[in-house]
Amino acid sequence: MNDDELRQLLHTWKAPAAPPGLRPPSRPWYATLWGSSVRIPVPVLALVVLAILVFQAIPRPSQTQRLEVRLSDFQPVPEVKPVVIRRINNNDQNN
Amino acid sequence: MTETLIQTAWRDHKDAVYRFAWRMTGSPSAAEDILQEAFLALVRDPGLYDAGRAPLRAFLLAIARNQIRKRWQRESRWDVLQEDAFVAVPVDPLAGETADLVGRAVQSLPPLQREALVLFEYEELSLEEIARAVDAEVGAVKSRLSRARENLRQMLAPLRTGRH
Repeated sequence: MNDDELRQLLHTWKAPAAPPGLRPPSRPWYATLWGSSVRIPVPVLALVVLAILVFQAIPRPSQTQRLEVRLSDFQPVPEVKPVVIRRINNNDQNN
Repeated sequence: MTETLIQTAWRDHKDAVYRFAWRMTGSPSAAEDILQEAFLALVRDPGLYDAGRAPLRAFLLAIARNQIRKRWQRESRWDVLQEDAFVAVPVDPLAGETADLVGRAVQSLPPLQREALVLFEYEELSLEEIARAVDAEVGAVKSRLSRARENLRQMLAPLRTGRH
C-alpha cells in the first residue's frame, strides 16, 4: 500500500463537528474585574495627588486628644452668679 | 485577547479542536470537555498565545493535546500504550464498515504515533507545528509519523483488496 492509497483509506474515517449547542467559556467576573483598567488624565491624577498631600499636611488634633477627658479637667466655678429665669410670657413682652 | 477575538477563535477553530479530541479519545463527551478546557485556558490567560510563534489553530490543538495527555496520565492510559509493546494486528474486513475499521486502527495506535498522524493527516499541521505542539524535535515527529503509517499499512492491508 503506497502513501496515496493509505491516505485515501484514512480519509474515509470522518470526525463529527463540534455540537452546535456548545458555547465558548466566558471569563469569570473576578478575572474581568482584576484585569480591568481605568484611564486617568495626568493633570487629574496630579490634582488628586496634590489634594491628598495638602490634606495630609494640614495639622489636625489627633483623635486621642479630642476624646481624652480627665477628672482633673472638671474645676469648680470661681464665682457663682445665679440668675433666676422667670416664666416668659409672650403677651407681657409684647406689651 | 478581547471577547470578540475569543468568539472569532471559537467560530473558526472549535471544530478542529473538537475533531482532534474526538479522534484521539473516541469519546464525544471527552472531546467536548477538552474543547472547553482548551478555550478556557485561552480565556483565562490570553497572554499564553504568541501570534509570532504559531497560528492560533496550532496553539489550540497543542493545548488540547496537553489536556488529553493529562487525562490519560490520570487514568494511567498513557503509560500502558508504550510504543515498543505495540503489535499491529490486521483488521478483519468483515468486522464492520471501512470507515469504522480505519477509525479503530488509528485509535489503537500508541498515543505519540496517533497524535502525530491525526495532526498531520487530518488537521494538516506542518511537521514544525506538530513538533511545537507535542514538544518534540521535528525528526522525532517524522519518525513517529513513519511508524504510524507503517503500522496502519499492516493493519489496513486486508482492506486493500477492493472491499468498500
